[in-house]
Amino acid sequence: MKPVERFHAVAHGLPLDRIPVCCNLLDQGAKELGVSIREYYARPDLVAEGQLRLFAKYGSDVVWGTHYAGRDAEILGVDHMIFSESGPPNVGRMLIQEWSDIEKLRIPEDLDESPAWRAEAETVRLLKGECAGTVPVMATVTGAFTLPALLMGIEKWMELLFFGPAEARVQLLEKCSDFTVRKARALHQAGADVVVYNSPVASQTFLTLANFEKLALPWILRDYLGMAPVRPIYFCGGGEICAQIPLLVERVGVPGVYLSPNDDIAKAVSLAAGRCLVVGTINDILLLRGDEALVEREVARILELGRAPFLFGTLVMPFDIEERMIRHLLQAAHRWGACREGGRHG
Amino acid sequence: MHERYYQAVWDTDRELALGVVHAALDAGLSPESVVFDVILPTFERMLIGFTQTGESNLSQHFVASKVSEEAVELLLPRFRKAVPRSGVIVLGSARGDFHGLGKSIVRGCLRAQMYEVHDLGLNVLPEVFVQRAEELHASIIGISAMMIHTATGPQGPRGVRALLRERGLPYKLMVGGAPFRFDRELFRKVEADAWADSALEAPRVVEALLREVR
Repeated sequence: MKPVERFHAVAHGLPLDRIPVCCNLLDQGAKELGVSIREYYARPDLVAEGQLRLFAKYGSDVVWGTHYAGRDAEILGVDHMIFSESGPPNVGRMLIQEWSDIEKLRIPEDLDESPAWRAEAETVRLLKGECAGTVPVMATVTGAFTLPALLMGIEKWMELLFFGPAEARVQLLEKCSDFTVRKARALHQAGADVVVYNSPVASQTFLTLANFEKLALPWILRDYLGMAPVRPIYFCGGGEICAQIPLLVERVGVPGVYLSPNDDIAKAVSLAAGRCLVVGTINDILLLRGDEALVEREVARILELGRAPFLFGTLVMPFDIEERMIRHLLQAAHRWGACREGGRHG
Repeated sequence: MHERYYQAVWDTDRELALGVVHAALDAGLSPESVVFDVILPTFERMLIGFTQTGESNLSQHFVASKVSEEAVELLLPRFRKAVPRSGVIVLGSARGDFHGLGKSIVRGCLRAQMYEVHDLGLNVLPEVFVQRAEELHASIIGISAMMIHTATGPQGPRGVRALLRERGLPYKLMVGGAPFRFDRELFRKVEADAWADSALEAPRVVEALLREVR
């Protein structure tokens, strides 16, 4: 089966050969092309080429049009990024230094005004041109509740959220939500097959369930209503989200939840109860240890717990993971995710 | 009193928590009693909740840390006898890392427990960590890293360790942040002496390291 056929089969409960694998190899494309991470992200064609090479080399079931999380801050005006030779770039200067800067924050009506957006959109378009009908093109948008962390830093965002003036908080979140909606729609128009909605700050790692419902859920709902007919997969961003699944399914209608490695997969599958796709995620930082047996055990554990509709996923895939470990991960996921007639995933 | 303060912090209600502190003072409780019988036991309760049941989370730790730091700074000058600072720690986030929440929570937790903490901020060079530790006669250097490449890169804890070794300096090195939670052995790889699973746990780790240097 082609990867798009696997995704289609999972989404519609049809027979499939194996569980699709969503392996988040991003910065590794620079390594494939022998360029620095800075050079790589400066050229959308390099990112597309890097993704195609990674796909051909390792056999994930997706390609990523996403550049890096800080891109969304750049689209909104951040002009200083800190590049590393072994990981994603970081926002180097926050756009919002004082709460009064929120007033000045401008969300472009037309994202094409932004060179950062044009670069990311071009990668999505190039990938779509190469992969249409064979491999799903994935792309990412930051949720309104998490975007302030990229614009003002997480500490300042927590201060505004819990101690700051409500008017400033609402104004910021409205602007962020407008951006999220525009970007998700624009990604879809550019050719993204699957949009992933990234919101770690709304996760249980940051919020109690009561605060999630009170503070974050209204904005997630606003985002999803605005993004329709685009229906992004809800991505944990590393934070745990298992207990939030009923609210996400029943109140927001998310089509899928992409778990944290720390989430209880069996519980998540039970809470989703077939109403949405569940992506079970491996703790890929452990791949840095170079222990193939450990990876094998983890892959087997995750896929044993999965129940349709289910995907196998990774989280951050650190740049320094050895190639042999990436290969081993993918091979193990293909092997343990194989669907047998009448079997677990069949 | 203790229960009301704990509940206010649990509910991330800073105003209410500070209100409880002021009400306690108005009711005649000594500043010492407010700190030792109300504020610090709340940390302990949250730590138990976090480590044993995973119940508390970052926003609660953030509010607890902010309120406690504020309250202790307010109350310390009113103590009948000056409390000697327990130890000097320099804190910062690793070079290339601009995530400050965890570090800030650690700072608040440590200050609330009478440690002298110097926060060097974000994106700190190894040389700066070591230079400030020398200037301040610190016992411990604490480094926060939220990304795997800032946790393990040569400009992170490993860079600090290399300088300490090169200069023959005795400072203890502790680390914290998401990568260390995803791989509990990672602190050894970056040559740290210890790591804290959460900010609430940091005072215990600091105390253990200080026992080694005393």
